[in-house]
Amino acid sequence: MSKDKINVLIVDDFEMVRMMLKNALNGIGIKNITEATNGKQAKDMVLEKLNSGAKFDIIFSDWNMPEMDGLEFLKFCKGHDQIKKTPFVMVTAESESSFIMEAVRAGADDYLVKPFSPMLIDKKLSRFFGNEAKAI
Amino acid sequence: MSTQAQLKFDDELAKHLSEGVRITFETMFGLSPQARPYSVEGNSRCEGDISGIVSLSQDGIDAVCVITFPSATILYILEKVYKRKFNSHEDSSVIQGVGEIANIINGVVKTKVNERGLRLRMGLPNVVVGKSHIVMTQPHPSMKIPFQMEGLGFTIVLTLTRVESAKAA
Repeated sequence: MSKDKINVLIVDDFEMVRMMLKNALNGIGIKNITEATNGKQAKDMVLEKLNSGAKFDIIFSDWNMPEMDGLEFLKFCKGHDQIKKTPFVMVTAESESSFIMEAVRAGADDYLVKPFSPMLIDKKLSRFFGNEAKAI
Repeated sequence: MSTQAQLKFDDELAKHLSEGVRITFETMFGLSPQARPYSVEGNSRCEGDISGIVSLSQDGIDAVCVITFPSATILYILEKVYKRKFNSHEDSSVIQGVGEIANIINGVVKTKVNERGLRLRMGLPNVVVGKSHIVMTQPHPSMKIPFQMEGLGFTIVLTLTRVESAKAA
């Protein structure tokens, strides 16, 4: 899948983190980005997308959020037949192994520790979408 | 209590703090702040308009890390990220941004310090806002590092509020 076709969902209650992720994704050629401020809003967006016959190709989600946290949202995604194979990347502020292990146990496909660079995100995308994702 | 590593105000800790700042700023903002020589003081004070505060603790150690920005510095940094102008450092997006910057820097510092054998855990960040407020660490000892970038400055201060001597098991 080429980068201009990848649909990304970013979930974080902090606008600064959403902007940093968005800037990094834009910098590597990804323009189709949807933002949610918590797990509940993200869940609604995922379901709305499915109702319209589409789905997100990858989800980047924060861990600590109000209303529905990242872990609960992850469990929802991995428990839903139509999106359980969608790559889910948990974003965390520190390389706390206990958080990461808990996310991986709940089905997270990868994790991203802040601070992150566009290059690191590019690497993560290549893992899920192959080398084609490198071509802009 | 088992023998444990200690948090000391030495060149290595200064290096970890400086790297936490440098890695965060270079990776996330494309900025390269330069650390000035550090000082260790019993009555450190730094003045700024907005500060991010994070506690770090483990058995026998309590520390507080404060990063303090003048308004001009934080607005310059965050306008690069948000791609819009802010009228004031009291804007909620700026306040949230300072908390997140403090959180990310301390995440890096914590990881590096823990590689020395400590087991520090981080608290959630708090933000203090107020024109020319002063962060004082008295009577606790602290390490203070000023940074400069593109004609703008800011300061990071790590204060040890409690250090118990390690005891043999």
